[in-house]
Amino acid sequence: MDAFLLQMAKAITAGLLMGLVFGLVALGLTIIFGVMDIVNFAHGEFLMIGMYAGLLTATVFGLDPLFGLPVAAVVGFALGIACYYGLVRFLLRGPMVAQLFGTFGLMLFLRNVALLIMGADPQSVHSGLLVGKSFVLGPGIVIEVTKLAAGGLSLLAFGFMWWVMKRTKIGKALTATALDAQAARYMGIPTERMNSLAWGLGGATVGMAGALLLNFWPVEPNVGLLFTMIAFATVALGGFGSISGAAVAGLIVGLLINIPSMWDAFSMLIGGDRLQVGLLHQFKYSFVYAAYFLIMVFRPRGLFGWKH
Amino acid sequence: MEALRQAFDFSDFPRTDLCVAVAVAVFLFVFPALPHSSFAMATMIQFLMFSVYGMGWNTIGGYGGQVDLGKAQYVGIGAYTTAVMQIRWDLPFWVSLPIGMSLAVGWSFIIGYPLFRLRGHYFAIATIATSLILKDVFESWSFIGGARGLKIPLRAEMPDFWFLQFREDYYYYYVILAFFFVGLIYLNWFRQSRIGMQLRCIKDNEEMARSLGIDSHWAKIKAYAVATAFVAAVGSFHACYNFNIEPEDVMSLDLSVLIALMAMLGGAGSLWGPIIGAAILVPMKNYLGAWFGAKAGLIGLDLIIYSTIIMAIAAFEPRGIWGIVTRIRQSRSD
Amino acid sequence: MALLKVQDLGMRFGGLMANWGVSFEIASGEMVGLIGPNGAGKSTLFNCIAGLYNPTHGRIHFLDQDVTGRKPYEMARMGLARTFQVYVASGDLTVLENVMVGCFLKTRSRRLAKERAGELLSSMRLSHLSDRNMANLPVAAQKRVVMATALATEPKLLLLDEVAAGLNSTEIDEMIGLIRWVNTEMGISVILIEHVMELVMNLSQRVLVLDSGTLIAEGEPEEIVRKPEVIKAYLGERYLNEHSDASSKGEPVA
Repeated sequence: MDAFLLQMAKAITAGLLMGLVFGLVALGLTIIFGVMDIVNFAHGEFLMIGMYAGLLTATVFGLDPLFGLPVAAVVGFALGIACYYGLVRFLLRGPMVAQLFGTFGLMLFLRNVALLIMGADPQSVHSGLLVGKSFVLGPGIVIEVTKLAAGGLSLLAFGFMWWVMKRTKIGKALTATALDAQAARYMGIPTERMNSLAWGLGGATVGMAGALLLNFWPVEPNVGLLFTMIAFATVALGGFGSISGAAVAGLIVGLLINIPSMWDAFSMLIGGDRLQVGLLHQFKYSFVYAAYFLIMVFRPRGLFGWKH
Repeated sequence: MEALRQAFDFSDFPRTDLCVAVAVAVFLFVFPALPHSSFAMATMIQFLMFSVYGMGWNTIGGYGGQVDLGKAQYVGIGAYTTAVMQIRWDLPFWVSLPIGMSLAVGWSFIIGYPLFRLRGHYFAIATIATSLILKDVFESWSFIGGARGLKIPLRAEMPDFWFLQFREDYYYYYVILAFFFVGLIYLNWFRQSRIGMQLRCIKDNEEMARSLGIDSHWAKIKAYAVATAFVAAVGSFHACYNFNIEPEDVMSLDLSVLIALMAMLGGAGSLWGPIIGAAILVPMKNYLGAWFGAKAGLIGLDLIIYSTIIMAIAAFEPRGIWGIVTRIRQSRSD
Repeated sequence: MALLKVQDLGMRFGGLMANWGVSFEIASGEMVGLIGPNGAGKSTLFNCIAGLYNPTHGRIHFLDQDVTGRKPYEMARMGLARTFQVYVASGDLTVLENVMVGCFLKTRSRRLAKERAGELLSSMRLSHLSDRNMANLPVAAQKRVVMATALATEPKLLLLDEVAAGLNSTEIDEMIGLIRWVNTEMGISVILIEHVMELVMNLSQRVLVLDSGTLIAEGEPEEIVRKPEVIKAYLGERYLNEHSDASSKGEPVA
């Protein structure tokens, strides 16, 4: 029984902490999607670049990857703006297919630039003040401080983005552009600049998420695709364009990915290895994909029915 | 009978198209007789495979306008059916081919029904999701070899036409060339057929299509099944040609996107589009990869060039190369 | 015998009642105008009849069957055709092909569909446009092609949504001739939504007036324009009060 509770608690805390970061990844996607109604296939690659930004800050200066957060935010912002002016601006004139393939091309491009520069090996941060320290939550439940800090900082970043989108003039202008670009233009909002800003903010958000994710996940050039899919699933779950939806959905996705660990705990409870199928661990992302599929088919407005 | 005549009716194409098509067909027939490297032969076989993949994708993605990014799951079903049936029950290719196609089509109906309740981006992403789920299933299913995949044992006697095992590549070449021509003729029928035109109408304006008596949901499912049959057939061929199949090879997202990309690059919704796309992308990918990867040691540079071209096409001519050709023709005739 | 019978139809979008309590009948062979100010719920009514919306209230009978909530393609197969107020084509089909798609409702054969479409286009004097792309036709031609496509499904009832919008006066005259031909020669019943009063008054045997989602008047064209509730709906209460004798003198307003 104790073993069950312990394992369960571990799985749930791991899921929730990771979920906070997932929420942030999805937030970046939803900002862009909400304003422009465009799907960015390279979203995971933005994340990957954020991760590398965090990694380089950490290794070059010997700091904790958490200090890479502002660097990753700036890099992400610049990347978002650059992609908008260099590519997305042109894609918007074409049909939906063009957006899909254009951003897919961007994904391949960024991935291979990373491969060329950084090499194919997975890397993670091994040094720093907080690395290796852990925090004892209860008997047997140990959380690494870096992960806890990453979760906390995601919340902070989330709060910041929420404040930007809901409380500042820029955020309101972005929302106006999202609701009706033409009307916004008549009101004197420079919609073209707003679009680029949405890409910048989306890039900054996901860049920050990358720096934080580095505490859970090693970085390699191919890491992006999985997170692109996770981000789509999260955004679908929370409702396209909804900020608070992304936060809650991120937590749910974090828990979904930890279903196999929970199952392990459950099988401990009802006795033995018979149920402890390692097989389930291979399906952990399938739960996320299935969630996307089912939500889109049965509840296209998102799990909570929030309006876009 | 009328359908057969229609399948061979190319009369609505301009003469230049037909001349080029005949020249290309002749070249394809005599290619194995020309001097060539084995790398060139492999590239040609891949070109033909991707042309047929692209033709299949074109039915739903091009004529129907539904961007399907999950075709790899059907490549997997076809390839695995052939491999498993050969390894476990010693059944030849020509038996497992129709079975694999039927299984794939059956699966496409099951997931097509909910899939086509979605539109646009949401549909495209959902196709990726279904494909990746099936890949996860295949990777953990030990009966079919799991993540390590399957290896088809070599037969004692070669060439074996029943099991499609040959020592020389040109046998494979002519088999896939036959698939290519059957596919092309079928597609020529399809584009002029009732279902083909209904699909194009749906792509044009779905609301209007429905008010003209077209059950658009069902029409899309049917076209999706046709696309699936094409892709699964080439998947079966792939198993015999490669001997070795694993989920990462035949079911990856990269393959799904590549299939769609070739058709798009050449010109989605046109008969020649997928062929043109494959003729450009396959050699480019292979040769760039060989030059930069092996010789210069610059891993990734080939795909950087490749992706730059994709972005440029998407940004400036989303109708693909065939779109450029039509535009030039229109400006000449005006 | 009534071809179409609408009973107490209501359509609610969230808190907005786009239609309520609408009842009317259309007899076989009839030509009826449906008028009303912008936002009166005319197109919503069409969408309910054509199966695009599932009405929240009331029943619709077509050819003596209860067809409430049927899908658009089911309605089309029963013999109901419609045109859309705004037509957007991405331009994949030529004019001939577009009409052929309509013909494919009744035949599977490409040859027959092509013949039928060709005949239809020539009888509507559109043959010269056969190979043109749908996306770059002039407005007048596009409206006629859309009508030809609808007719290709061999309907019993045709719903026309603002087919005269954006046409000049010669084109309107041609359109009047065309619609009359459809009604008398082809024997198809027609309901037309229209703001071009010339067309409505010329063609309709009967006019239905919709305002704020409900029917406010019904009658022959000449009597409808004199009804105070119609004048009020179009010109406002103020006008009615200031010209209170207008209606009694019987001056048409529209």
